[in-house]
Amino acid sequence: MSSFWTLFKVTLKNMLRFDRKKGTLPLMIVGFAAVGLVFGFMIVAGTLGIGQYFVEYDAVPEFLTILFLVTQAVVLIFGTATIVGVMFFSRDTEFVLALPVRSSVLFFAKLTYVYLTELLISAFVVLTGGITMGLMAGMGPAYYLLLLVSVFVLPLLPLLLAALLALPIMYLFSFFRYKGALTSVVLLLLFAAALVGWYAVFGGMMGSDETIVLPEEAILALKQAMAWVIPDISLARLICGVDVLPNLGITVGVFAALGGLACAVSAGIFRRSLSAQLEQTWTAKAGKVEYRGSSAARALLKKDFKEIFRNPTLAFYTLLQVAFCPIMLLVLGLMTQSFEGMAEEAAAASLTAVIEGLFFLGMIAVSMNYTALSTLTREGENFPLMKTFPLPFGEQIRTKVLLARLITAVSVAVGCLTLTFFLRGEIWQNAFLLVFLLIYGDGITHLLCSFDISNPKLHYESLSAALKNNVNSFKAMGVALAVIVPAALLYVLAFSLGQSGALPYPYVVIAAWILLIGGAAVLNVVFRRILYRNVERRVARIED
Amino acid sequence: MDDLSLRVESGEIFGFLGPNGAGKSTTIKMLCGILLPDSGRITVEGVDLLKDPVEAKKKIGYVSDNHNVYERLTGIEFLNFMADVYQVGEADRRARIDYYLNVFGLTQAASSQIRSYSHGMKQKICIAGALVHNPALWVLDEPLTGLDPQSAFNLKEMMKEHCRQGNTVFFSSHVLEVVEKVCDRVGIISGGRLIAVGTLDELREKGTDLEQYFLQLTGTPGEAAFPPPPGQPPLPPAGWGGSR
Repeated sequence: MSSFWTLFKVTLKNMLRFDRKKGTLPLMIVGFAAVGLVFGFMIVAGTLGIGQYFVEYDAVPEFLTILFLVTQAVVLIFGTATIVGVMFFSRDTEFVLALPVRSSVLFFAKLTYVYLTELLISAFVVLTGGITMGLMAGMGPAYYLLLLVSVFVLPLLPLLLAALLALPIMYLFSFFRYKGALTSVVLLLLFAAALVGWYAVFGGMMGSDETIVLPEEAILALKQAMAWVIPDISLARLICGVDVLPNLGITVGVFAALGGLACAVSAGIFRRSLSAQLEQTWTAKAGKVEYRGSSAARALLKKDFKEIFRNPTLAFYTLLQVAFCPIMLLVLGLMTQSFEGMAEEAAAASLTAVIEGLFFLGMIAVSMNYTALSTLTREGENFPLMKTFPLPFGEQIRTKVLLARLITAVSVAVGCLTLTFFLRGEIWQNAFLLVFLLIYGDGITHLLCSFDISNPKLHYESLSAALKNNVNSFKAMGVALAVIVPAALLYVLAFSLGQSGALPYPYVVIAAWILLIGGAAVLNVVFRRILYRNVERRVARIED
Repeated sequence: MDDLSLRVESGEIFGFLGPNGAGKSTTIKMLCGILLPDSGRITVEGVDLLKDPVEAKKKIGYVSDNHNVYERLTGIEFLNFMADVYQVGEADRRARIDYYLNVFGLTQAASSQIRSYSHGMKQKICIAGALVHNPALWVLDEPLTGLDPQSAFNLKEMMKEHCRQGNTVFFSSHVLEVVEKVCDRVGIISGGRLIAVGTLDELREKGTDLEQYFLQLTGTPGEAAFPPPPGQPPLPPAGWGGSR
């Protein structure tokens, strides 16, 4: 046990030690608080909006189960990349393998670190939604106490599953030449499967049957679907005081079984899987040498592309940006259509499509551009090489920005196509949305690169940790909030004025769009200037 | 660094010596444009590195001591990348890449990702990458650490050949024997100050041999008088012939 604590403490210190000189900790706290406020408001508002039906039809455990599923889906999405980064591609792998500790101790010490980093998500979602629901349903003190316990239990399930899945995947892929790319693809498939599974559960609730419009029918369907979501439903029933003993037995049994399985498997495979990552696996390939010349800028672009897509952590985050929001929009689109039957009215559907587009694409997809947020961070300790190249830093940065801009454009385009097909609305409005998001997204990509250039993390144990514990992602979210919320308000105002007949529809909305696109263009120019102003001096001074 | 002033001539192999933390790597990083000096000038073949860094860097090939390199690229991708960045033509690129892959025995591994290479192989691919544009100034930070005897020999021969072609080699090392065998001139640095510079003969005149002179200048005791580890009996003095 003592070796577990020793290893765990060292891992934690290594990963989370902040640079006090730079004062990043207060900034991160402010960032967390700002993002927390926005998402907290959304969860509380959502709970207040639909919570009454759950209370009325005695379905509080089912509501909690939904919260648990959302928590676990988010933990699975972000935790999988962290598990791979921290447990398999960490720089300390060689060192820890030489230590006289058991394989399972090593496994759980690293997994506990990942668990702690994911605990915040669990606490945030479960406590905000759960406490709101508890107040609405007039629950007793035991409910709140057990809710608090559930915060610590919930991330275990997705993390143990992800860790168990990662073990054979990493061992298997250690034999492949392009294991980084393969791992990325499989991780994304896992992520997609998790989301599809998540949607399948909701499908049972609201799904494709567009006739379910009454809350009573929806809640009944939900109860049937949630009955199979074990152990979450058992935990939720336990918290609500329903059939306490059987549900306690099921909850404890499932987690104990999973923990035991993880113990057994990790003892046998983890060390071998880690060792396999370190083995010298280069293979002789005669006659494969090619001599292809290109411009310096193109060479930098190709190098960056390969470095990203052959690195499972970076590839995962990059592809996640392209895939995450469209999938969420798809899920939301199907739910909105079936629940509210809004597809019938194009104008009303446009309002939903534009607001969801602005939020998911303008705020989340564009802001979580990890290619931009890792402009220099992903270079890590290779960064000094950049300084030796006979190319101006501005030119080198330009190629990096180009890649990030392309990824943003693809993400926005895929998102808008998803909106058009599944939320429908008026095509011309979706076209305006696309143009606005492309111009704004292009601009903010420059700003994100600038954030990273101003404060890159070049020394880290794992890239995943460097990207996740990065104050720049909060700055990006803050800027997105400051731009998208006023933009959405302006659009809603114009839409309302048009629909009420106070101003002629659609001209008032078109005018609003022209104003928004003009504003996006101005921001684009400003953000570019922020990036390229003094770029030579800024890069030269890094680590000087 | 403290008021460092140094001139290295074309066609010269210059060895840069100093104890750990003396400022060897810092000097080299300033020479390659990685670090900026607070004041002063660095010129490479007449080009001011601070005023025209791009033009100056074209003349430099740098091999770092940690062999950090783009590990997700294959060996051949990395060499082509370096050739692109330094704008090496098709014919020269082919000839030089083939030559260095062959010399370092990396031909068979060229299509594998660098992350699968051993420490020595990574070092070799870094050296090949630094030479693919045939730089006028080849700068190496602790280049011989981790190389097998054959590769170390090849590297020393390569350094000599590079100079025979009228180019310059500037390298740091802890291995005094290598410096004695390869270098035309040597500089010794300690505490950020250049405390001696000259040909090997000039330095030898001031001490019995280079090692003694180095230890004398840098303040390291000539005969190591290390205390024994806790719980261990003292070691016999150096040269003592009795059995323990």
